[in-house]
Amino acid sequence: MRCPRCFLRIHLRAPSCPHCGFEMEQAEAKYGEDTVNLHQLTDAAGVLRMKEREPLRDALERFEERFPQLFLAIYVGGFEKGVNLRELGFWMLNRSNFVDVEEARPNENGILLLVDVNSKQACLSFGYSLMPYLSEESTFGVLSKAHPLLLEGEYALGFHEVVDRMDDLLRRGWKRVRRRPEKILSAVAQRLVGEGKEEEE
Amino acid sequence: MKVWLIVLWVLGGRLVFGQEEDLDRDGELEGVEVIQRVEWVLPDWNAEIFSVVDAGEFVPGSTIFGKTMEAWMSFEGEEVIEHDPSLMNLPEDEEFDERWMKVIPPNFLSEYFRKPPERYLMDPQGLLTAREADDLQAFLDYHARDTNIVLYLYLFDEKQQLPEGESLMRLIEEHFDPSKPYAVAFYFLGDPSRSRLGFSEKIRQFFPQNEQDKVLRMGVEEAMEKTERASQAESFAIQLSIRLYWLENVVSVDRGGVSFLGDLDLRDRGREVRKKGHWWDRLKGDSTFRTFFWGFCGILPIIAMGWGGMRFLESRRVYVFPDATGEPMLGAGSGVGVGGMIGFSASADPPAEQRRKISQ
Repeated sequence: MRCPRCFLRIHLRAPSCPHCGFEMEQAEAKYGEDTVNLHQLTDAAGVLRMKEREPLRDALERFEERFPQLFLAIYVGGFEKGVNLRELGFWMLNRSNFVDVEEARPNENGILLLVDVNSKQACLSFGYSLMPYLSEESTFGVLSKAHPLLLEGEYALGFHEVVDRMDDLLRRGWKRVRRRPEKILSAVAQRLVGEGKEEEE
Repeated sequence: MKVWLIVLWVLGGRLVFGQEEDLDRDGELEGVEVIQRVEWVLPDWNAEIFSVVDAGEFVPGSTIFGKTMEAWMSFEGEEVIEHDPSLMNLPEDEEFDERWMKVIPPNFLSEYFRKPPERYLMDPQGLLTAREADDLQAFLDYHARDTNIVLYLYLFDEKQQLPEGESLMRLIEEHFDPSKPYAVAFYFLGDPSRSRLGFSEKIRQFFPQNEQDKVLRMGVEEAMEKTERASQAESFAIQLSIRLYWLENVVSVDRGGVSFLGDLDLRDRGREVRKKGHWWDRLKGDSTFRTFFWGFCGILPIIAMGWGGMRFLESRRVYVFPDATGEPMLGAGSGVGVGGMIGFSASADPPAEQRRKISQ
């Protein structure tokens, strides 16, 4: 995996980044130890139109219907210059309480899309449950698809693109883990608790 | 409305027109200038003539042209009618010489009989108009594309006779390839009954003479239905085309689907002007291709429906991941998944370039 601060590769079992010493305590020291209440869709920067928010919420809801264990949250804000978005995303995923997300979907099952409208950057962070299925490279591909839209200031369309691409990515991950669950999970130092199951309506 | 009264006075021969109310005391129109008065005097019967008529000795109107009816009725001899001498010695009409109509002009003989045809329609004398010839040629071209037994049509005038020594069969033997399937017709514009039809050797071997004659006879009958020369020729050609098509296809069915033309050389059709068949036309004629094509068309809707159904089910599928557990990392309780990060401030910094920088 990679360090949220310096982005260098570190061992899965490392308690802290051997390169920069980063760990959760340092993030809390920088951004705070208290839990922050957020909505699943937070537009702190005010870039979304009123009429764009409802369809986006519907898209997030459909995502949750298809993946009943997971959720996807979007935070759009304007941060100070020099803020490390990956580090901030790491901290938000671990310290946020998404009030409109079911309790059955803990943050370790969540994906956070963090957008800084000041530095014009977007990054993805995800919980432990998603580590077998998502990677930095694959999620970069998701953001690449949304890049043209974000570049044009079409944030809502860009977010829809992220949701759709993430949907595809996770379905492919699901198919892979069906075939070889132990191998997929062991690659991120995880192991099965129960059998993976599929429900069809 | 004023009513004009026409009053005819047979009284001294006067004819008066006008309104009664406009007539003056003399019975004439007021204000009308009388130019001339004509007094016609009818003959009066005198007493002598009246007594003769009364006695029955004279019948009024019994004399015509100075002769009595009795004299006319009793006339027995031939009356010589004296004609105007200037009208007596007119030259008689010359007997029309039809000999020139029976001869094919010598300058066309080579076109007809000395060499193979260059087109399916041979009309060197220009007996048809350009438009008529183009239409007929186009039809014969179409026939050649549609069937293997091509049709050559030689046109002659109604009364023209073939030169001595020349014949349809001699033309076929000298200038047509016996290995090819074809029919050659000599058609006489205006007199379809004089038409002749010949086939290539292979065709003749396969079909009895009565079948060959039947083709010609039906063509002539069809031509006779029309009155105009060009229409007759067209009908003749069309009927021959139909019969030739039947000969090739129906007889092939009788042979178990094997064309009787199978052993003929159909690759090279000689010098005829013909467009090459479109590749699709050739494919359509292949039964195997047709079977696969229609089979595919029948299966395609099923495949499309199946694909659509699968897509529908796919859209409604729910994905549940296996429950997994592991050790926390970097002291984080929920996750340390570092995903991709991208900048969208400038189009000059595309994702690929950003990725490259990260990879370095």
